[in-house]
Amino acid sequence: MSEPLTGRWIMDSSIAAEPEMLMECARVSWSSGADGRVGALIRSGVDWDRLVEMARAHAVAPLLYRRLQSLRSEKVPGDVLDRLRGHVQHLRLRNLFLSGELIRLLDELAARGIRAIPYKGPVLTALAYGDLALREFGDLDLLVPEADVREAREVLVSFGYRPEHRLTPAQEAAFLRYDRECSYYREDGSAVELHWTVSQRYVPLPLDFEELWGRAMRVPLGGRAVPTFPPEDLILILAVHGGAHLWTRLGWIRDIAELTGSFEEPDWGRLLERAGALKCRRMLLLGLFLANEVAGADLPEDVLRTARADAAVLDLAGDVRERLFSEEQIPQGILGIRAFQPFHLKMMDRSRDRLRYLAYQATSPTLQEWQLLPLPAALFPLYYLLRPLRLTGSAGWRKLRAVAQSRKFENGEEDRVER
Amino acid sequence: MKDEISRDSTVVASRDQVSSDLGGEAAILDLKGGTYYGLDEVGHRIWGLIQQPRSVREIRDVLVEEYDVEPDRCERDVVALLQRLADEGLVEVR
Repeated sequence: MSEPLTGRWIMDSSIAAEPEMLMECARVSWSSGADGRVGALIRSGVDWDRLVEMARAHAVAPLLYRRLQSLRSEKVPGDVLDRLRGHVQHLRLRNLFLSGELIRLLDELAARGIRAIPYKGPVLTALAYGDLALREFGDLDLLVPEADVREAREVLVSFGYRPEHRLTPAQEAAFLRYDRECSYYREDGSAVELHWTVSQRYVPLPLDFEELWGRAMRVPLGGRAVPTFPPEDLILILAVHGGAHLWTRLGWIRDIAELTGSFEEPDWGRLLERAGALKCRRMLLLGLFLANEVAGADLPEDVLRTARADAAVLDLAGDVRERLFSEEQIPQGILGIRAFQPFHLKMMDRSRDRLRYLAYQATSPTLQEWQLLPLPAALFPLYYLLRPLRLTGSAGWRKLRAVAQSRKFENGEEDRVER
Repeated sequence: MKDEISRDSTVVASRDQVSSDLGGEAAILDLKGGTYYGLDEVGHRIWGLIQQPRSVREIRDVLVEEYDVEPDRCERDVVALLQRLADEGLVEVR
């Protein structure tokens, strides 16, 4: 990357007023200069509807509201503040409800002897932000041991949740092995993501449940202290999560920035060493670099120097800059493979992890295969051969699918696999 | 009535609730009954204090320091509020 990377890296291009305003408002600390910048942006003319829409899309509307309110400026239209205030009040009650739901779920899981570690959602908000209304989240994330997924699912069902996917026992066994989470939804709009690994299977982050459970800390939530990952684990997990989602949301970057302030005695050298051992050093460096550049995280110069010294980190950060406020859809990648992204390859530390990623994307059966071509349990291993056929759109795949469709209707099984 | 609160009682917020600041006031969700409760600014201050076990006298002394109120009147109002919270299961009396 040729442009200078000191100072406000992301602002150096001809960024529009609304994204710049949003980033100013989402910074972890406000300098008097930033007040001036926000004021100048307002004076230069802001499309308020666009700003509010972007703030909600990037999950930073509470931060925008807090900042605008603090300005006490007549230049901020009253109806914009009213809209944001309404949204934040709704969010407070919603987050309060979800926090209560999380505590009730944890109680029930514990009563059945299931260890569960909540992360993101209310616990990240409590740990990093300290105010339930400062962070937007739509669901609850729970990590449980893989062996307990079925029983945890029963608990969710007893709370009125329905799984996103209904699977046959053979499909479920493969799903547990090759996927990482299942979403559950309830009619009132509540959602729970039940995880049995903390990261996508194609990402090298070998964090075992037992190790995570042993390292878990307690965070106050209501009248309880609930388990969650300590900041040094959470920052790795969030850095990998952000990378897997191509860092397309400002709120994720802000989470990392906020979390860096919650370490009691940060030992960045040790954290980078651990990230190296877990094969996600570059992903962590990228997350830290973005947290500093975009959200103003206060990080030691040697950490930032290490990030800047990795050309791939700068390259990836450039990709994020191009995409963060782009209105274009995320590219689909080669061969229309939905999950494949060149970004993922670039963010990995080692060539062998890139090869593993490609092999995973090419061969691991997904729900799409199961839904497009339901097979009897005995033929389930065939999915590993069928995925490459489907990805290449071969005639063999189309023929197989046609046969399967005709058999399915003959047997009246068309509803056996449903979303 | 579950627990009688007096000036000598020590109270703490119950385990079975979760709360949030609501624009200077407090919103409390009772996890057992699923009911939401609201507290005004002074109630919010008291709620903040009883996140740790506190005696009624301690609470009164803090409020008398912060607000323009007579100690006896303040104590009566604190006891009345805490009694309501205790009746709803939102505080434990020790």
